Amino acid sequence: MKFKLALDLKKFIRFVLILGLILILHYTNALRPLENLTLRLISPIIKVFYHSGDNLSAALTKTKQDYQNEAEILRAENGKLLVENADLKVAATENIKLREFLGFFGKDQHQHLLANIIARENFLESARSGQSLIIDRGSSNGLYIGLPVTNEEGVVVGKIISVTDRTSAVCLLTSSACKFAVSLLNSDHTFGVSEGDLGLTIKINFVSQSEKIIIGDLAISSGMEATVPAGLLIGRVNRAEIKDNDIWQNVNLEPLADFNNLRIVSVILPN
Amino acid sequence: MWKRILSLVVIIVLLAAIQLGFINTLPFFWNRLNIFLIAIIFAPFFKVDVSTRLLLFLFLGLAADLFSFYFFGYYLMLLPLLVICANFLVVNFFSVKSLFSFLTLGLIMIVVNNLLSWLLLSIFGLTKFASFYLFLQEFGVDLLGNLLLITVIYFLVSKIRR
Repeated sequence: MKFKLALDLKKFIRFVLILGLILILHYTNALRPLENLTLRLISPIIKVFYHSGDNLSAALTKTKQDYQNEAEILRAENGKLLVENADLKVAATENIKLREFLGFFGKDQHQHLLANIIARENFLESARSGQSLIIDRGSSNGLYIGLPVTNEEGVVVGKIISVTDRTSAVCLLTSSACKFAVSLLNSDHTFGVSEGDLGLTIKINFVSQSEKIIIGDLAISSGMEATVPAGLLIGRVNRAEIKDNDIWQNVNLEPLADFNNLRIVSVILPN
Repeated sequence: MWKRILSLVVIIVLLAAIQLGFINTLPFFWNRLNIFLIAIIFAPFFKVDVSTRLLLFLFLGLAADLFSFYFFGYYLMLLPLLVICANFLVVNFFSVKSLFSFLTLGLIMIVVNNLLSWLLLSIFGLTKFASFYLFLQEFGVDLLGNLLLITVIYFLVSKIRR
């Protein structure tokens, strides 16, 4: 049985010679520049395939336990990042508020002390005296009873009603314990005393029935209190009612400050 | 001519990248696949003449040797030898292009490949002649994996050629 090699002998010899030549050139380092060039050209391509293969290999060799462990680690990391994110958001909000305070203080001529709200009064106390906040400044910082407290926009939120060495309690405007001598920015420059009502609204007492009060009139501190400077914005009139049998008008204010998102407040110190 | 040279270069680079970069990083069983051998088996059926095949696999061997941990010349000698062997088998025994032909050719070529590897590594001192049983240990995996690959490629090529 004859077999065909199907290979031209001359071509085969030529091929063997080329093979031999390549081997000699390599071992004599003559082929080094071409080898380096080839390596430089092919390496990036092989690298791409290597990474693909490596990723596939990792995916194929991972067991269910590996995925579970990885999931646990990722869950813990996610929790940690959520907390960090929340802290960062709080810091960002405080940053904005502080910047707004700086803007307010730039215009305001009063001395002021920034304080953090650290607690709100507990339920039972609130039932008796209305809502109040606890701030982290006290008598050691120069605070005392009666000082007004504002938000970052300079709008009054309440007044200090009790002081300890390191903390103070601030009653909110809507609290019955919170009273301010106010003046309305109307044509008559009406004076009165504001008082919180049911923790929801503010009523102005001692307003004569002859006073012309329009809904929308702004109410500011009158300056008649030793501890409260004049001109601090308190609220806006949202109700003015005259009853025939009453001596005084029923005037209500809506507070201009939002009490729900308070974190930092400013205590106004008299000059 | 330049088009031919360029296409050969592309084939060489791709084959080297796939075998050395991709397949070698896969876990056991998959890393026993031999793309070089599969290319040698299918090349005769693409009407590529022997001289071109020898040249192609010579330069593929050169590229592979640059990235190989074996001695320089291992692939340079192995691949052309496998080309000659495959050509001999195709010309004399496997003229019919059926799946069975390919699988039988593949089986023989895997045996030849393993034998030649062992021989070259033993001659050049990398392994001892007595360690032939080590090659036999992975022979079953080589056989299974590469015959599977031959089957897949056969069907792919058949579909493309239709």
